[in-house]
Amino acid sequence: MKASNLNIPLLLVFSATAFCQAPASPGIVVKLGPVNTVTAKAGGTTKITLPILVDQGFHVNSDKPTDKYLIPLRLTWNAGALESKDVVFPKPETAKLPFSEKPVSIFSGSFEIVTQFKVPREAPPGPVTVLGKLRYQACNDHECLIPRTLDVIIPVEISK
Amino acid sequence: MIVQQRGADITTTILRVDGDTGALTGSWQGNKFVASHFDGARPGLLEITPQQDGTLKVISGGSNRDGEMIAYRPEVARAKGLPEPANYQTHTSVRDPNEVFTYSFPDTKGKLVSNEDPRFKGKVVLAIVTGTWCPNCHDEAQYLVELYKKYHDKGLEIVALDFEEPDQQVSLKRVNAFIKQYKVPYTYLIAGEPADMWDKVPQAVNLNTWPATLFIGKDGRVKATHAGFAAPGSGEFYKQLQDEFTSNIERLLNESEAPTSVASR
Repeated sequence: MKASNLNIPLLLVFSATAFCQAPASPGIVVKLGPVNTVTAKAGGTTKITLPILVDQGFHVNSDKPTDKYLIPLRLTWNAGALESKDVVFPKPETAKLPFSEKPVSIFSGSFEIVTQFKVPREAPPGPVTVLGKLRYQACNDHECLIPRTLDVIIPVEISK
Repeated sequence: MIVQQRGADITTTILRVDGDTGALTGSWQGNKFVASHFDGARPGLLEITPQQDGTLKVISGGSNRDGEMIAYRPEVARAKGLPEPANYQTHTSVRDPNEVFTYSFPDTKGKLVSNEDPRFKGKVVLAIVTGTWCPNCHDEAQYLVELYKKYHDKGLEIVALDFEEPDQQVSLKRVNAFIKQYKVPYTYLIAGEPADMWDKVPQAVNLNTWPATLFIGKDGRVKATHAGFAAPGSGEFYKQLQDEFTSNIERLLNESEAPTSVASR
């Protein structure tokens, strides 16, 4: 079949069906997903899974970026009723982006960070709130946004 | 998306906001164009199928990894009410274009430098909002070094307004490494932390990208802006940026110097 003459103008625009164009005023491009009340037993352990959604069109550096100057993704927890142990990040994507000579380690779209907590034996039964902070830095291949910190608030129900 | 066709061959470049672009080349195969490149890390593949309605069906990765995309000609996209692509030349502006652009920050040695400094008087100045944590800023710095070499003797000055993370404010280790790595010859000022951006550059409107470039004329006023930076790997978009930057600089260099307003004092 003969190649059709597309007579393509200089610039085409992608529709929004596959992915959205960057907003005119990029702001907070990372959202925290809902977390149902976590149950925990005094003297035991529990797991908190934090869902994260990065707006289409952006990525965040992973927890282990390939260059030292990049701001890594960090999830930290305040001292409180539960004691945080391991914070487990998913396996990052490796992407070759125009601004970097070597592939960069990033997260995009939706992903989860899982934290193991230890519940003190003497923890009284009842509801508590676990507080944390998610520090991230988002870019696309044309610009970077201000590094941001989001507050993380998780309801936990401790039983005997 | 830019597509250039020559007979059965095409070259296409996509400025994808999710960060996978570069120039792909290919040709007509059967009933579609297939364009590809290999950048050393992974292959890129696009299948572009012309539709009856004049749109293009675009599949990236060869496996519909990113879903099917539809490319519209600009006039069709506007008629459909689709949002315009980001306009990097108008995204950021200044509150009053008749106002002299002012700044006063310490350099890496701690010496305070302001827009009133003799080195900037009567010069065309590029003021760059930047930070060492910003990969796009690294790309721009390399380009700015080239511009400085080419135009400094003709009256161009460049001043970096650098915003660093709190733990970098004291030692400036990364800043000094950045300056050394790119052999930055232009003025480099430490403006504060990223969160200070809006307080430290209050004259800018919708300033929220790194980098951001402000083109300042000989009269000290902002004449043009550019949000972000299309890296060399973005192919045609980098070329467009180069054309825009050099056009702005040469236009401003050719303008006669106007008296400076006393409004800044």
